[in-house]
Amino acid sequence: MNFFSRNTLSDEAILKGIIGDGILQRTTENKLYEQYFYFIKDATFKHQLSVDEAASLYTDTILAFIENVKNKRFEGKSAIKTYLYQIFSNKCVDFLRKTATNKMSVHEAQPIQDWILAMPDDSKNVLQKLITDNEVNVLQEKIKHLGEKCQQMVLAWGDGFSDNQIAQELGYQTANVAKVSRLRCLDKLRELYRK
Amino acid sequence: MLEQIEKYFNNELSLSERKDFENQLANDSELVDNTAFYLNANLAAKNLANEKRKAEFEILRREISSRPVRKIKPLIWAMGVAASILLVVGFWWINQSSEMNTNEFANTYIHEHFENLPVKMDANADSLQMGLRLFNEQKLREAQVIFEAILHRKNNDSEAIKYAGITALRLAEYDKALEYFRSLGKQTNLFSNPGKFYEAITLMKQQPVNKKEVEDLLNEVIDNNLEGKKEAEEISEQLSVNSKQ
Repeated sequence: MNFFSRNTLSDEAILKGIIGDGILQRTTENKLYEQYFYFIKDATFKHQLSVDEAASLYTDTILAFIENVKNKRFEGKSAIKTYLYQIFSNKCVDFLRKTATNKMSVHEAQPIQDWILAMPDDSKNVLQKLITDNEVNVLQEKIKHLGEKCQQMVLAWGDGFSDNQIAQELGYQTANVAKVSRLRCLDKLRELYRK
Repeated sequence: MLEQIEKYFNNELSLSERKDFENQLANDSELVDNTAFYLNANLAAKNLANEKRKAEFEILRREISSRPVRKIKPLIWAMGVAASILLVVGFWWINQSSEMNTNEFANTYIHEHFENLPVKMDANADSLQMGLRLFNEQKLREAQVIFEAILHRKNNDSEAIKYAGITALRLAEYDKALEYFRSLGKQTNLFSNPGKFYEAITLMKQQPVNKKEVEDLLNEVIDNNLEGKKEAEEISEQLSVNSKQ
């Protein structure tokens, strides 16, 4: 019997893995997903959600946590399990509230990016008007028309990977080469977008 | 222009350059359009990346949910509880520092590289391409028949050997996959040969894992700069961290 096949990762290993490279990162994320998978079943009892609803909220929770770790928003003041459970519970309650009051909107406002917050008010207001669900949706479709390598680069950029990580993942010699290629891909995307 | 925009948002401009950018933004509609494009594109890319990851987690969920749950008789259950208490005490410290195992690394690699195989869009409908299309439609048995038929005609066709091995691996026919990958690994006339690395990935799926054999193969891939070197280095590093703990 292999005692180690269903083991749990320590908080330290999870945090180290998520900011690690390539296969380690994805394996850690998958392992994290599996480690607290039972939250889904808990939510079906506690919040009377369907399994699919709970699973979708759980996936959102894991993705939010990963993003917080990458952006250094997770400060490690609580255990990962506690932190995840808090996010997950809030998401379940939000979901129920929206469902109960029938306020679920198909086109929710895009979250204002941290980037814009630091801009002068005039520019911020103009840009906020130009950042719309519609434009984002159009661009999502256009990205799918880019070549495979460009798609990979653009998605990795959207996922918060640094040019150094992109270079390692996609086999570019240096971060600078990856950056130049990524910006060229964005130029191509802009051409497609404006056609 | 996009580079300048990116530098602004990444805080890579000096204070005066930053001020210039903001002034220009107030008067230059083209810069505004490009900045809005940059931000919208980032959101779009982020959404797509999340969608992709969600789809991957959904596959993982189905895999976890489909694992068999064994029903345990009461006496065995009671013995299990007693044994569990001992195990919990005995192995608590191990779990605190445990890392990923070989099977999990292999699963990640297989999931990322062997879910879909590259099909040439403009290729004639030759057998290999037909097999790849079937593979990508998850018709693995049918794909296997095609790859093996190619090998029946030409038993040293490296592409067919590779894809027959990958298909066998996906079908959990590890012995068969090993045969193919070992045969591929022996071919010396290829520009790039992933045979040894794929053999290591297959061995990582076999239970019980022969760690020594896996490590030797990974080292061979690294030392000889074979295809899969980067992944081999990452996995090898993790395995050595695990064995030290």
